[in-house]
Amino acid sequence: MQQITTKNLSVLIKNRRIIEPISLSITSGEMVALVGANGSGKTTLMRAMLQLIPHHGYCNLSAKPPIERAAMVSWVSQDRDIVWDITVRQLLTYTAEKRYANEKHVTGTVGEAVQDTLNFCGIPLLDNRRLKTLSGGELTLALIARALVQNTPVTFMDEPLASLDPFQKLKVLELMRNMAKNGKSVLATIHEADLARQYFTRVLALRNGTIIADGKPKIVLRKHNLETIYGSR
Amino acid sequence: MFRNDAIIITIIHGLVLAAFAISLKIGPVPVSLIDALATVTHPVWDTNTIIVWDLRLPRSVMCTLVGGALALAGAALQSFLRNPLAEPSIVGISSTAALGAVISIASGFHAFGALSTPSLAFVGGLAGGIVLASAAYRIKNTNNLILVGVGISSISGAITSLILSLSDNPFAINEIVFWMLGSLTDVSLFHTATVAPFVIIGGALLLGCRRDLNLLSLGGDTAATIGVVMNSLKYRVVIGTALTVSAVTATVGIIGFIGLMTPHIARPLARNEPGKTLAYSVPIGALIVLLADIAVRLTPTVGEMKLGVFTALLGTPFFLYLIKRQSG
Amino acid sequence: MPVVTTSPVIVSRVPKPRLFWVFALLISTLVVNPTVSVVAAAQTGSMNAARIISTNICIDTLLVTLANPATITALSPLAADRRFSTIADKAGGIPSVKFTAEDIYRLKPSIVFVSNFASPRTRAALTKLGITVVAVNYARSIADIKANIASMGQTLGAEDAAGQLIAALDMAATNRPLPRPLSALQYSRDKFTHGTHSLIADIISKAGFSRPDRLTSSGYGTFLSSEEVLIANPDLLVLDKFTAYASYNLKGDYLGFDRDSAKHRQTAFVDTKLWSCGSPAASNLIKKLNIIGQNIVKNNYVQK
Repeated sequence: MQQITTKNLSVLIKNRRIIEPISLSITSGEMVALVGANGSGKTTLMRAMLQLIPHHGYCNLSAKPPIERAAMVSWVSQDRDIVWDITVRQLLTYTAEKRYANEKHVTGTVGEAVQDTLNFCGIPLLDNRRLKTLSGGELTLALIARALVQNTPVTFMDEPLASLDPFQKLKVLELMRNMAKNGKSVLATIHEADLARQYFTRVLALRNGTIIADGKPKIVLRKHNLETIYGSR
Repeated sequence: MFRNDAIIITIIHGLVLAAFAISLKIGPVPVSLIDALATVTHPVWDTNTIIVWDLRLPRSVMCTLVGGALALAGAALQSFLRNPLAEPSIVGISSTAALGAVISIASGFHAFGALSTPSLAFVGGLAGGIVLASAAYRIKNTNNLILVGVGISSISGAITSLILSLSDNPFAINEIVFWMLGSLTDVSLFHTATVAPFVIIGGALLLGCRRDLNLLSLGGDTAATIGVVMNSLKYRVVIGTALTVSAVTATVGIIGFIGLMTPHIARPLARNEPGKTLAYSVPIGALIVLLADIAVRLTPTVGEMKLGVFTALLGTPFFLYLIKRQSG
Repeated sequence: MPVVTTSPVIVSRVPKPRLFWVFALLISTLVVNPTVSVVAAAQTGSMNAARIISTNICIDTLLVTLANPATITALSPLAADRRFSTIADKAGGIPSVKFTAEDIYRLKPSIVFVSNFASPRTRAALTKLGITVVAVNYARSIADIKANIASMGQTLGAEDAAGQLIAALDMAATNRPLPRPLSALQYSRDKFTHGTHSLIADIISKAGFSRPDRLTSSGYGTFLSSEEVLIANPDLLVLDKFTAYASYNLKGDYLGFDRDSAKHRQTAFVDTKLWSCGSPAASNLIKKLNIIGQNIVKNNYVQK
């Protein structure tokens, strides 16, 4: 089932086309890796699809109000700027409270949703830890958990493996795989080609704002393609 | 967890009530509160009644309004701007309100009635709020709101200084300077009744932002993906702050540091939850201003000690401590 | 990233005598004065005994000369301060009172004099408590002083004393005119000069001087640079003798006027408190300036 579709979506910043017209769709159960050189527009593309920046062209998310969008796609950004040192449980609870605010549930459901998410992500012991006391890997897992508590079919992640050691990277990738097994889709930017080949079902290669390849990782990420994807402009 | 919240709230409100009662009792003239209370059922217009009902009561109520309003605005700004050093004066509204008051006093409009200076000051504050809101419309990065606020403050401050320096009337200047230092002396029920609606409306607007402010914990973008309409939140915070701060500053002058200090006291009690910090800031701010005003009335100076001076004396070391903790 | 914020800081070099007043009143707020204790008023004496309170130094000055000190219950905090008050000796024994409704009420006054610029809040509160409040305008001319003396005299039932003071002011104004036209200008230490709508200007003109041709500005006053003052070339400069917050003599402080010129008779150093308030002391100042003018002519002193 198609969850996110775009048609000729493009982004102009100061009259320069950062993203050329792109038409793509993400369906359930996919693990999509978005690869490309730094500056190719990966983050811009995701933010445009999330309606965080204005864009031209069509995206099925743009017609919906923010609260409905929140039920369709969740977002794990690259920012690790935490100002108020709250606990992991608080972080998930606030998200769940907003998300389920208009649904006729008893508050007990929010607590259950939070606990279930913590368990699913394998971090039940982090629940009362403050965000600033977490290690890089723990924090990434906590932020993914926050996105998961929204219970959306699709989750976007920007550089989820950045600054993690190899073991932490594997934990995060295992979590993504579990999400896909449960029917959820993941769109994540990733630089590690070998890990992408191992874990992801589809690769979108972006170069200068255009999708130059869209297919199975084994094929797209062959060694001789890497220069085309990542090579100098 | 709920039980702890209930205990904390009960203690704080209990302290506020106690401070309120003490505030009614403190003053140069000895009064009997019991007699004053009795006049509710058996009206007697003696001076005890007048002093308690027309002087002490409005002053105490105004303390709670001022403290609650400034603390709430400070907490909302700190949460919205994600900056622990934000406070109402940073957005420039108290400076434009002060400018309105200065124009009123320097031009003589002051003498027309009890509400002349407060209304001009309120208009000044709202004007600052309008400038801020229209700037907020164009600005995506909330930190730039601080820059706009600083700009508004600077211009208002410069014009105020200009008016002060061009006036040759020593008593008008005296009134202006003392007005700006902030004081609740001799506020009447009338003043309180005109301030209260704006504080209540603005306060309700700000308190309604609590859930959305919780979601700003990870930044504006993430909040938007959880369903927060950032524009709506931005306007609610700016308008709520403009209404409460203008109304309060217009009547009592500039009382600084309440908006800065109180959220930092409320936050640990609220376990760092931004929304709950707003709710706790209201009674804690009221308590601080009540206690400060009591201290002002008890200080044996020849002239009346100004509340704004006192809160600055309290607040400056606190502010320095905050900076030290931030960088440490 | 924390942003350091500051509340708006109002910095202004407020010209004398305005700065004079700001400092005066700010100092009075902060000074703890344990020797002055305003005791709780007991209803002593006859019901008709006047209990007069004045809350402004200018009004204090008039009150003390018009009313019997025994009838004065309290004055403003500055009355006993020699730096600001011309009646510090007479005010010595009289307590001071804070300008709040309750503090004043506590003394059970029969009448309270306030400045027309006093806080409307406190005035309204006093009225609500049933106290008679009389506003006295800030005097900007000798005529204003006479009007204030007359109306206060009438209110206090001291018409005779009032009449004498007014007569003295009239006498002072009818000085020997100066044999030849001389111009004079008041110039504050912070470069502000008071305009025609001010008391010092009226005092100078009653002493027989005119304003320099270039500076016949009306209104409250204006800032002038030293060069503009020198170009205007007044025959007499009326300068500030002291500031309230510096105990040293200011003669060396005036930029552009060196120590030598301070010795010339064409500068007169006058204590600001003599003309900050409109009081009977104005007549002495008029006479003094007139004598200086007479001497300038007698000694044939001509400006270079």
